[in-house]
Amino acid sequence: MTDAQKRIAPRRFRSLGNRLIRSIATAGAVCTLAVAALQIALTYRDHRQDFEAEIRSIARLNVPLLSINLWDIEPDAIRRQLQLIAERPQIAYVRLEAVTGQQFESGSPTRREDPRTVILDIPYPEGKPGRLGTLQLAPNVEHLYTVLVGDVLRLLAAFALLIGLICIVTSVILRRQLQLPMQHIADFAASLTPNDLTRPLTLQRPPGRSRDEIDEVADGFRLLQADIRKHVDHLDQLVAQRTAELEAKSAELEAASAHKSQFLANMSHELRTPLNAIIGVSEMLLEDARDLGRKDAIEPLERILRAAQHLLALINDILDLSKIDAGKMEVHLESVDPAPLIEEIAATIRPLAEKNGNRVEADCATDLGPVHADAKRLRQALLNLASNAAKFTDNGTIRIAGGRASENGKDWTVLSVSDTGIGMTPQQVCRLFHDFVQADASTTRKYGGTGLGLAISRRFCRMMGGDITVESVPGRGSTFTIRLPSMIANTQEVGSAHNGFAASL
Amino acid sequence: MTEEVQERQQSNYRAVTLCLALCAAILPWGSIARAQSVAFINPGKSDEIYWVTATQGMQAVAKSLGMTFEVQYAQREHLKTLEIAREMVARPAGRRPEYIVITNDYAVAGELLKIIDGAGVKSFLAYSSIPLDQRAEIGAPRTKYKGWLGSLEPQAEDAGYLTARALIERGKKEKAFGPDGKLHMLAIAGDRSTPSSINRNQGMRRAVTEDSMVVLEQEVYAAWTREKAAEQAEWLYQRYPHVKLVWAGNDLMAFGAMAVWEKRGGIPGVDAWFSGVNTSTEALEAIKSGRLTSLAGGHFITGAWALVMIYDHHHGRDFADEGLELQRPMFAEFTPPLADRYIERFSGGFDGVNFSRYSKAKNPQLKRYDFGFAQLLEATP
Repeated sequence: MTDAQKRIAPRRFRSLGNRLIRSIATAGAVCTLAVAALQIALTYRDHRQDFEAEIRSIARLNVPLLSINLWDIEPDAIRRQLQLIAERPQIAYVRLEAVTGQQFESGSPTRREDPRTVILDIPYPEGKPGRLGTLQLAPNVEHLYTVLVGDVLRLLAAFALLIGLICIVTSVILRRQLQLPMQHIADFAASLTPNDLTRPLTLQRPPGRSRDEIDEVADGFRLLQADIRKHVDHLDQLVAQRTAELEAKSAELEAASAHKSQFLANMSHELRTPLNAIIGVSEMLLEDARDLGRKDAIEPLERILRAAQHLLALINDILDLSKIDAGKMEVHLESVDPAPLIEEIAATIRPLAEKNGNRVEADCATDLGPVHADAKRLRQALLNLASNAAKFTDNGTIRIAGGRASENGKDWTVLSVSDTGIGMTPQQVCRLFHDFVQADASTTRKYGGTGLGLAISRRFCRMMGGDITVESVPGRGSTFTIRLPSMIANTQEVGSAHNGFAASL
Repeated sequence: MTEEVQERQQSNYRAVTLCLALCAAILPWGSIARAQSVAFINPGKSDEIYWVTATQGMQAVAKSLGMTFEVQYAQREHLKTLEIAREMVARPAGRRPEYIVITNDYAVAGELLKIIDGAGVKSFLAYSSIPLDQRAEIGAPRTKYKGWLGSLEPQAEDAGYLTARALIERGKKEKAFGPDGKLHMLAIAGDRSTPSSINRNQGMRRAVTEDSMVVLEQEVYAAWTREKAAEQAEWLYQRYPHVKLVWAGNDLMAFGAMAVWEKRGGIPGVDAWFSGVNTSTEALEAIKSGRLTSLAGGHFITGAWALVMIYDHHHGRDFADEGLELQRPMFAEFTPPLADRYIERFSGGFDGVNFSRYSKAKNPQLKRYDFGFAQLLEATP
């Protein structure tokens, strides 16, 4: 991964507030631990001093009563008192020795030789000089440590609580003062759409407070917003200007195109009239020549007739195409039974096909059901496909088939024309349906044709709510498929088609 | 006819009823004539020499005066004292004692009087009196508790004074002076609180203050036991090497101190002198052998004298003219001959003593009771 990628790669989101709190908590914990360590050291010192003072105080407190009991010679009372002293957690061992030799002890004798032992004289009661005995107290240092550990634990617990509280309070403050306003600005920025870039950013901050960084950020954002608005406005203006220019140009072009189509329509019509005359006259002359046996005239006359007929077909196609382009071609949708249509097309194409040694097959179930189409245009399209197949196939088979398919919840009638002819490359297939285009330029020379048939057929099919598609393998043959909606068709389309038909034809 | 029969039958009924009424009137007199019944709630244990001797004295009085006497020992449990009292007063009339002698040991007198007087049985307090702190609750005899006749206690101070005095005299005689020319004495007292202990100690101190030759080194409290007295004596002999006189609040403590002295190589009665209180056989023998220098005793007889007073009260000679709460000297100081005589006469009980001669009811010429113990030893049976 490159540095750039690293920068671009989306990183995990971690709230600013959380990060700040974590930092504060860490810093707080470190400081607190330092303070706690100091405190523990001081506590230890104090405890030690207190402990020693306590031992001395226990000793001093007990001396007067011991003195009385020693004086009164109450051994049981002395034993009881020593027991009570030894029961004090601070004391491990206590021992009393009278000057007359009697000895008493209580607690754990293993601590007898403890170096921290406190030794006190027991004087006579009522301030008489001299002493009655000695009191020896060995401290229980374990107790000191127990107390110390307890205090330290309490101290640490208190500090932990303190840090916790600080974190909570800081968290609340940060959330209210920083995180929420920032989040608000971020959410606002994210919610802006190009249409409401100028929607003003409002921050709900307590009134009367002094400005801070959040306000600066908000102001910066507002400035940015204004700049973007200005920029967008400029772009909008530019786009509007360009659009107007383009629209003007487009209208101009459309007008030119309409003129062209109109011109073509007119021209075709004007051309058809003399052509029909030429065809009619040449047919008559050809008939006469045959009748009269003027063999020398037959051949040129036939050539004139063929050329004229070709020219008429070409002009018809051009007229159709220009009508379509001028939006004046309408289709008349009706219910068409495909089976007889296919038989008819097969019969029509058979003489032409058989010239090239082709066999024609018609394959359509009689109960296929009607198709929603303009019968004339459908026939024209099918005839075009079939004649193309016959034209580009030698000694092969041309198969015209009808079927049904269901796609996208709609029922389709599928009519296909397959041949075993020369086929096409994918590039040729791509150019196939364009106006005036055959598979390639050489084709026109070799096979003739206007190159308009497929384009016109496709347009008809599309006008009927369907389409023509092709699959082809060079050298193996092609299959052209017409798909048209079956009878269950949108009645509204039918209606509009009817209206259009009445008006244009 | 029928009316006559009815009349005769009615007169017969009347005669029978009269006879029954007469019998009923005579019966109580008959029972009094039979025996006056007295019970003693003894606070001590049934094997405690002092309290057993006290019972023996009372039995002798009952025998002399023809009373029915019953004793029950509370075995030093103060709750048992109350239990015994409740049981006694709950008995049916025939078996219920007419008088109950009680003591104030463990300060139970108030409770006892409540039980006994509440049941209508008469009572008498012996051996001790009502101390100040109980006085408000109990009052004087025959006031709050009407059936509480009175009390008799020995003058306990006597015991302390008599023994201390004898000890000091002996010390002087033996010239048991210290280097300062004074007699050095130790006191082993019973306890700090019971009245008899306080009184005995007071008597002892009175004897000491009367004589400037005597220095009382220290007074300790050995809880009436031989063992504690011995332990304390051990310390005291070390603390006060010039001590030659040891006063003890009873016989057992004296023996404890003597045993330690002997253990240290001394001979009681020769190089140190001891005194005690009580008439145990051991103490009397010690007086006879000279180990014990001075012994006071006889106050166990208080109960016996109480019975005499009850007898007189019952027979119409009330002791109210001498006072309802009497405190009288009862201790005798035992010399070896007296000790001898005591053992000789009373070692088997006091049956040999005829107490009827001390009764005012029996001896109308008697004006004032003499409760001294010595007269029992001197008197001829």
